Amino acid sequence: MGEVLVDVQGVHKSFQLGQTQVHALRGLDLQVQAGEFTAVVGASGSGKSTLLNLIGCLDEPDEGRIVLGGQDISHLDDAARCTLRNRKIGYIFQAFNLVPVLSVAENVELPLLLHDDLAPKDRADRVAQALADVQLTEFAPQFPDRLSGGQRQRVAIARALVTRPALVLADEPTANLDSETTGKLVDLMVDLNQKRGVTFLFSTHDEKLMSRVARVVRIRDGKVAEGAA
Amino acid sequence: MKRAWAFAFANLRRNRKRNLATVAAIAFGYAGLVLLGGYVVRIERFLKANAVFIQHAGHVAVWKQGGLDNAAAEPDKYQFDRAQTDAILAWAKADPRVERATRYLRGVGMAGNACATRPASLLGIDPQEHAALLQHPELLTASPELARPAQGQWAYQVRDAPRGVALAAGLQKILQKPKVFDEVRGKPPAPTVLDCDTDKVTEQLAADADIQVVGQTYDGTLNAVDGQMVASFHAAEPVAEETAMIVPLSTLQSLYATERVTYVALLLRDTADAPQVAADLKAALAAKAIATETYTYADQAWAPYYVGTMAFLGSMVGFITLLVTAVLVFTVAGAMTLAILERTREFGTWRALGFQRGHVIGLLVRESLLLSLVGLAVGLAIGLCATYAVNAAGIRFSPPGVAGTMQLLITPAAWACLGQAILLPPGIMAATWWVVRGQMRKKPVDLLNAATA
Repeated sequence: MGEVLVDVQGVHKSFQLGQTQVHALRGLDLQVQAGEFTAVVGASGSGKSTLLNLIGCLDEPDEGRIVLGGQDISHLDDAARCTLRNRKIGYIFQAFNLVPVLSVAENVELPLLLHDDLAPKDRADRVAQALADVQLTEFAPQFPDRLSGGQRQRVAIARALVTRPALVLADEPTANLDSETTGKLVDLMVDLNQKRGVTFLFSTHDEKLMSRVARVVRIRDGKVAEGAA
Repeated sequence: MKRAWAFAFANLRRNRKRNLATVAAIAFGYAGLVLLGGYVVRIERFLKANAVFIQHAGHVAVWKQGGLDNAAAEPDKYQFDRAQTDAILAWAKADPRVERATRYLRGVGMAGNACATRPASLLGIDPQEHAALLQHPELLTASPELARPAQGQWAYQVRDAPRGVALAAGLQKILQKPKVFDEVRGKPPAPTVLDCDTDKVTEQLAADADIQVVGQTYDGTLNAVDGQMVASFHAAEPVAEETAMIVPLSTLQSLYATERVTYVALLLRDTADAPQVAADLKAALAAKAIATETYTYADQAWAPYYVGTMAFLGSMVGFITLLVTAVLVFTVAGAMTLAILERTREFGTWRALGFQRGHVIGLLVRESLLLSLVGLAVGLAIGLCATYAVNAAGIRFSPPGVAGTMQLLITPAAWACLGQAILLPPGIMAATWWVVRGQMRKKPVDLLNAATA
């Protein structure tokens, strides 16, 4: 294993739900090494998604620090967060979140449009490589509504990987897939992790997925109950 | 952001029915504005032609200093003498911007039928000058109906009536002269002395087209001239319908025993030159010690009917345009609000991928701009088709001051279409920006978890 890629230190996060204050994270500590394939598990409402959102710069912690690749990302401004999300983090969502009016290739290319240093040909090469990695080359011109759930999630994986991020975050990536498709998808992610050294951190309820990961972090009541480091 | 326009265009494929309804709302709203604008442009051309050629305002008119207010009361003092008139005509002839200069003499008198007299407002114009005005392409293009008399022919068209006069139709009726010169030519004349107090008088008056015009010469002597009623016409204003009379310039000068003229009107090759020509003429005459006041057809004091009506129409059309624009802006804003709410999670995805608020707002604003431009293009096409249909239908109506009916024509002008469209895209873009900006203040995580997505 390499150096610490993600270092979460005493993070608190709470939300207002109507009249109720919900404490999602209560001083959570966690470290993730570069190249790890880590699952975050826990009951509904335990704070899994909140943790991933904070690490992914989609939200800010109330207290504590989050360090990504040596940079404190806890309280960056919006522009810096955007750059960080685009350059260092890839996202895979439970509902795939593909743009329906764009083709598979255009969906995958989307985050690269913010890379002014890439020539159009380089962008096209990267998109082709990402689609090849998820075995969807022949689907490049198709639109998402023509694809199965598993294929859509593979497109989302390609989109997450195309920027060559340091970290891929996946929030319940197999929740909307059947067991056979889930198996194939897990194989794909494990393969990418092992061959390309991509760091994966994902939340899941899926036992099949948990059985394939090197490290499982259990969260309970907003804290890490098991597997913190 | 690269390919923002392509993405915006691609997004128009979503919710086709809603986008179609939005485009239809813009298109029909704008088509209505095109028709309204085309009608007003047509009215403007009609009123301008009426003012310049029929009410004899010219494109530019030159009066002696104070003449517009005082010439009727003190004609000898406030009208141009022969030398001054010649100076004006010479200047006009030498200036390439001027197409034609026409002399006018205005005055008052009494119009009589040998039994009774009525007050008359007299306008003296040389018949050949009158012919040139009534045959002018600008008038014939704008409204050929205006060039035709209600009855008979204009003096320049009747060779054997050297003192041919034209009466407003109301005055003609009062003087009980139902037939014009052409209609009584060769028939037995009326008796020299009429039986004014008997029932025979109506028939006797109708037997000829003779009119007597009585006036006071500038030195105070009562004078009269005979004329032949060659035509009647409808005056633009009701009050003039019972008093207006057009007389050959030489006849009117003879009545007043003068060589003076009240004003000179210039027709220009390009009406846009009117203000400059007015200024140059005034300066040139001032250099010759002739104090003048010059007016263009767009001066309120000189052409109040044209200027006032256009001001009213302009404000009305402006108000309607603003109203329609506001309705369309709110329509599009409503549609965009729905679209934005539906796509909240997608915007969260864009933000998660690294796109900034401005990128997403820019995308939505581009979409609304494309939507409004498509709507405007379709609306213009509908408006032009409707214009063609209305014009082809040959609908006729009777406006005041026109003999008979005239065709309802709609003549859209490019500048009017552009002017009415120009507010819409910025308004729609601003409304979209306002709507999407509120949504984009949310954190990416809240966009991704939005319940409406």
